[in-house]
Amino acid sequence: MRKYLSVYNLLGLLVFALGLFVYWQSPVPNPPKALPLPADEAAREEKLTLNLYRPDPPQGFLREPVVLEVGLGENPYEKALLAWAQATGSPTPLGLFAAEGRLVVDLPKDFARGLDTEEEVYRLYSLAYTLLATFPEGSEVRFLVEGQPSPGLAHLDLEVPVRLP
Amino acid sequence: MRALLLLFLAPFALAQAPKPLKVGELTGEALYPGNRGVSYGEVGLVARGLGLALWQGESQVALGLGARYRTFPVEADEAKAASSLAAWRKDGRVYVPLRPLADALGLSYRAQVGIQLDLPWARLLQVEARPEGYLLRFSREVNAVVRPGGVLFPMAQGSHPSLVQEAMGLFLPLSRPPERVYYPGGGQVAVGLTPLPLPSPTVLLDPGHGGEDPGLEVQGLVEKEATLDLARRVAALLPGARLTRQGDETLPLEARLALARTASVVVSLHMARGREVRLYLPKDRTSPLAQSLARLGDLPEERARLLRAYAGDPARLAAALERAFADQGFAVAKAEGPYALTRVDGAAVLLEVGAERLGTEEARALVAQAIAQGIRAYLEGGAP
Repeated sequence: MRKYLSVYNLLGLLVFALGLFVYWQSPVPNPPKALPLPADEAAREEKLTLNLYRPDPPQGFLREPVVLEVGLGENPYEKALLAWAQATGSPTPLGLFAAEGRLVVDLPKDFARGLDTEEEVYRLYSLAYTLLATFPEGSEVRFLVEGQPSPGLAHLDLEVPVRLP
Repeated sequence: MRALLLLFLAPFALAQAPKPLKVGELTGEALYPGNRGVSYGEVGLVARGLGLALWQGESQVALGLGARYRTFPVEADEAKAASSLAAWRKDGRVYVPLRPLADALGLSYRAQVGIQLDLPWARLLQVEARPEGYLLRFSREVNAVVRPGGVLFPMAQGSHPSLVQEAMGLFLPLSRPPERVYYPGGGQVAVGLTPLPLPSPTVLLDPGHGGEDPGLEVQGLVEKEATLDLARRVAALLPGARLTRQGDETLPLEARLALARTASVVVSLHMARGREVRLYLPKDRTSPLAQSLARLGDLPEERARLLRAYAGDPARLAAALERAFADQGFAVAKAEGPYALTRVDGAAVLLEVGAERLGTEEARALVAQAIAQGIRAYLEGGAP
């Protein structure tokens, strides 16, 4: 027992005890927190006016402005696609993005299923005109089908871009 | 010492000076543009001396021997011409580099005191005489020159009962000018005596939808079935007409488009609600073939027939179909726009028939008859 009670061992024990004391006494580091935002930012919502071209056969389209609330973190493009689909009773397109002055819309392959030619024309042009009138960054709309360029769904040639008349 | 220097420099100076050029039996001058050591000869002299085919344009010149040919871009700057082995235009004449030409056409090139460009006489190896023409095989590539009374093969020799040996070469006497002469390669020359069969216009019927895509369903009538039945009925009335799908199969629009691009007439069949018959046709057609249709009336009959086999006029097809439906008492609505399968060189339209017109066997037979009548009238050129 005596051999463990050497000066060096006692000194080491003292240093260990001192370290333990400092550890217990030090403040607990702050857990990670979200970046502080200005108080008004969290509650802020943007308003997007969707210029809806509602099909009105055989006359054409009825233009109706629809105001959408785009919350923080929400994508205005997705919001617009969803609002258009709900307003026209159509399937929701898979996606929308802007590239080189063009709006590109990705459609599901059954987007125009069960429609005749006139109905397909109204559905696709309603979508294209609505997007072009809502998002000025695009001067024309190109359609993809399931992420790929396609000659069309059933009746319309989708290789031709759509522009506002 | 000065004399020795001159003696040393003389060969270099003389090497770039014009040299005599002998091309077959003709003589001329070989030039060295830009002093690059590349010998050039006047293109007309080279062609005449060896019986080569010559095509001369503003910016290019080409010389040919049978299936072999060599094209040279024409340069006015002599250094640039010599460094890129292009043809050289000098005082309105065009000169071509002789060695690259000899390599391309299999000519013999010898440089001694002058330049000698030669072509050994070709030996006739075989003659196949058929009612539709002759196929001749020589020991090397040979040109054929159509002359009154037959075809001359310059610098060729041999014996055959059908051929006459002349000083310039072998002559094939013919009672009428050949329809075409071409070079299949391997020293062969084909002389065609009968005209090639011209392609006939082809009709493609596209039954819309199919497989997992039923299309419209109106009072138990399914579009994919109705369009297939209609297409079969039309095809039965138009011998030779093809269908994009033969049964209830899923056929993507890409596959239909690939077929549509090969047809002279395309009618894509669809069904709509109600009883209306609608025709959808393309608005603007920009392809060169489609635009050349405007000159159809100015073309000789053979070329017009060829064009009609590959290009069509959708407006004229729509008019023919409209008239055929009118004969059956049907009114037709027409619209122009970017419709699927219509952006092709042929005459392509999308025809949509109201479901109420397709309810019974008799009604479908009547619609099929109108479609077949319209297509037939279009092909015969009877529609306005």
